[in-house]
Amino acid sequence: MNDGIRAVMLLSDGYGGFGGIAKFNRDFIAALNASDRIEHVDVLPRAIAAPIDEPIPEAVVYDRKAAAGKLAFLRRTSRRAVVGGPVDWVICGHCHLLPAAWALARCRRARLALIVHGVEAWTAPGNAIERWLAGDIDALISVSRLSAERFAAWSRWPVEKTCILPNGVDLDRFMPRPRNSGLLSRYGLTGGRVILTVARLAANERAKGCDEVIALMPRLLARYPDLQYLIVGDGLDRPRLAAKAEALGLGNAVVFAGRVDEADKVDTYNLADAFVMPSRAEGFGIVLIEAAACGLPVIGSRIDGSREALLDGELGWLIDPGDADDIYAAIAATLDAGRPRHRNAAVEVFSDRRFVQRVGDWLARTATAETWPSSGRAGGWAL
Amino acid sequence: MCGIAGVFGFGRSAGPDDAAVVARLNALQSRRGPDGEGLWTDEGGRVVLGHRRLAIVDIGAAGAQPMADASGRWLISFNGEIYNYRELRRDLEAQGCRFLTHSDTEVLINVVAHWGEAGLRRLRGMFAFALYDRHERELWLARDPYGIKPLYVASRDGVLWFASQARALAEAAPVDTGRSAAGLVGFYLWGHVPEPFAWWRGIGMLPAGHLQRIAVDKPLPASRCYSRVQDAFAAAPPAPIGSADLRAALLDSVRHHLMADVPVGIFLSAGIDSNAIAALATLAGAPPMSLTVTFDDYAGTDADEAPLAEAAAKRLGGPHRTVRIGREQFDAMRDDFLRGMDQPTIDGLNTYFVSHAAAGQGLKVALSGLGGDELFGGYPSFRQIPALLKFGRWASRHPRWVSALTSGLKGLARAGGPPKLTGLVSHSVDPGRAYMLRRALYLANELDALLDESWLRAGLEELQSERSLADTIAPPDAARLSFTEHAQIAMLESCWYMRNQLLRDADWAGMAHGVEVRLPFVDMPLLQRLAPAIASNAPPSKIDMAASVGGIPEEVIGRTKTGFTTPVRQWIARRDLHGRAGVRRGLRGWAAELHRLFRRLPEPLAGRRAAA
Repeated sequence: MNDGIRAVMLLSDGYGGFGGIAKFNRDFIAALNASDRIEHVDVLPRAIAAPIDEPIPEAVVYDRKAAAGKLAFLRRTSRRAVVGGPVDWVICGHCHLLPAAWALARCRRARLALIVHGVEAWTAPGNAIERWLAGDIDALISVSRLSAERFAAWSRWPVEKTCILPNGVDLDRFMPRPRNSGLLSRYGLTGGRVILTVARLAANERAKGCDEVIALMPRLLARYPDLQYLIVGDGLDRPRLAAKAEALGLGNAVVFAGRVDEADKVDTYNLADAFVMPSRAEGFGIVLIEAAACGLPVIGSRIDGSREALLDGELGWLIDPGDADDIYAAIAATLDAGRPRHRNAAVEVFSDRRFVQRVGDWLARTATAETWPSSGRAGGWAL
Repeated sequence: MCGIAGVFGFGRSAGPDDAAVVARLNALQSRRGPDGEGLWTDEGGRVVLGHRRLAIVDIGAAGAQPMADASGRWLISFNGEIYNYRELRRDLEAQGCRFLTHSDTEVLINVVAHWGEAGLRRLRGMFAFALYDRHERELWLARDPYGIKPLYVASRDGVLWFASQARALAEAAPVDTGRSAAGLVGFYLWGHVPEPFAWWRGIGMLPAGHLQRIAVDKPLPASRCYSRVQDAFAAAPPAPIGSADLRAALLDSVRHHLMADVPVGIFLSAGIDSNAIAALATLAGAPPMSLTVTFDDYAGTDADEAPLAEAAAKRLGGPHRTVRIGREQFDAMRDDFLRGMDQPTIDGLNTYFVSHAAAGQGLKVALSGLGGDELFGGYPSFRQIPALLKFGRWASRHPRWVSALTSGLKGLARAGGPPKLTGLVSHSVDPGRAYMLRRALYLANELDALLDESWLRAGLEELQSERSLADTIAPPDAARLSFTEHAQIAMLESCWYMRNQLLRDADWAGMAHGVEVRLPFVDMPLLQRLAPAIASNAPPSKIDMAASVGGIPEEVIGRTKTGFTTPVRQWIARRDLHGRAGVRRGLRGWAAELHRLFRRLPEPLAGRRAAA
């Protein structure tokens, strides 16, 4: 039996956070806890948006003090560099935290792993130090091959050494269910056919493709008069999108549900007849596999990480987000098919069990890999 | 002896899998009882008792369990020994009871049948049992006052499951196997999981000296205390004990603990306790076979107990065997050791190895000197806690010094001194907290680096350690002056460290090899005889005890106590990923390692989902 691994994770957010990255981080932490190789994990979150209502895994200390602000985060990270016992791995959950993670890893003579998700890792940072640091990591975990390749293209990382760790979905929770009529009326849906996008509507995330679908709605309504487009998610871009729908005279054919409670998420997917996200910059697109797990026909982009989430088309329709006819054809085809929803068994490759297994495999591989110093450096900074 | 298990659907009819689960519990506890297996079902499967047998008394088929009495009204699954069963049987026969066997088990049934709850206080021995009354449709669960034998229970949806091992329940019964916050925090505080908590949320320990009577179609009642170790100290006014009386009391206990239909051996060290028992056992009958465990790393040092133990055994004249354990043996047996471990505990290795050796010699029963330190003030805590309390009284008179001192101690701890220094001032205020400082693996204020605040808050809240410690030594009636510090420490050591650490480890580590460990120093009649003396101003010391017993070599008496030590601290020293050895040593590192290994237990079972 090998000795247990002690890890420190630096995160943008996780518990008490929203969105795909927070979800990935929670899953990753839970998977570490499920591995008998892991002895202990200290987690330093950069932010905690909402009260934490999930149990923290028992091998994990979630340092809430670190989330109090940028200074607090740096203070807690520096503290961990000095006290709190040995560290074997520093796992950096976001490119922006790499300088702090790198310093911590070198101070504790620990190995450094970086997790990359999407656009944040696709282009080289302006800062030369950050560019250099990105080449000085010991392991790379990427949610998709695309993100790994884009990252490797500007950093010195050898892409073939990447651990590809796609998002997972709880298949016992996300499953086909009858429509929840209470939810239907709460969102102001009329009971006709529904197409759905779930996305953060941040001003800088127009790349989710809501614009393209709204623009298609007049054409779609001509053919499917009862159709409604349900947009779940919130952000600064919402007023602009609402105004755009208004300008097109779409009225209640476009419905903004805002951010949906975790408890209502599965029922919300199950209101829809198709899921559509003609995105341009998804690292992976966890909502695609959640929708697929609920048995929805899924339409996603062929030009970003969505393609991997949809298994090159096995799990859904791949479209070109720049080609309105292509998107229209896909939506029309799924609505015309109108078959009863059933889950495509291929989604099993993204089950949360497989996620845990992949993290375990990564730990096993790295445990037997070459020991420190792993990338030809002379040594760490001893304290 | 033995492992017990069962199910009682007190609030619902039998489930289709109930008997299968009890059979599985039996299988999981097979190491506790390699000599036989029994399963009994009644009420259409609503009550199932299981038993794994280690045959020691009335070893033929007649002594098999579960066992019914002559009337057929009562049925029992019992783990332990009733040392005074012959006296009890005579009394019961005089009152007209009939017996079908020569076992202590049948006597136990009749004690309860005849005297009811009051009968439990007549029992001399170690026991945990489940007794079903077919007339009243009622199940009795009980444990001995010291808590030598374990009994874990779990209830859910009108069904109660029980077993001798918490881990077996977690693996076989459809109970909540989420982590218990009290179990987790308790483990880091003490180095073991303190009763009544268990490592798994849905499981609990029936507290020592408690009885629980559960009737069909009635709500699950709480367990009740029928006898407390501490009460022995208040039962009679303090009075010193003479040497002859002390010797008679000890000999009486040893004599009773030799009761068996198979040979009884002894775990012999270089300490006074086991040598005293060996001398008394020789006096009571013949010199028993003795076994000593020592570690290769100690060869030629003072810590090597073998030479003294060998000389003592030679003097007594019985057969002796020394088992030397080296790093290789430890490595080879480590996995089995961890498989046998019921719940995470930082100790138990010594008993595990010596029991392994005993089993190798064909022994099923061995005496141990465990408990002598509690009776005769053998632990350093008997000196250290009074010193801490003295310091605390001084500190309370000099508040101005205290804050400076506190920060100074903090600095010292941070600079690499003993980490518990930080608690010196805050823990020197009463015996309970001073005891915690002395015995704790971690102080509560150190744990935030190891456990998330959500776990810590919930665990400390459930444990209520300070209040429980204070309750342990509270005088039974408010009018009485409090006990002496010496008596309070004896109570704390008996009811905390001994009960939750030593007795649990002696149980699982012995039972891992099918060896019953018997403890003449952990005996209620002996305590009742000695308690007034322990509570007096002249409590008997180890030297007094050795002198009264006689025949103990001078070198043993004069030997400075090394305490229970093994080189395991070195063996388990952490080798980190980069091959740098010994980054974290000692018991704290071992605790983290055990937490890691026990985090994933129970192993996912194929049939588990179906059973749930």
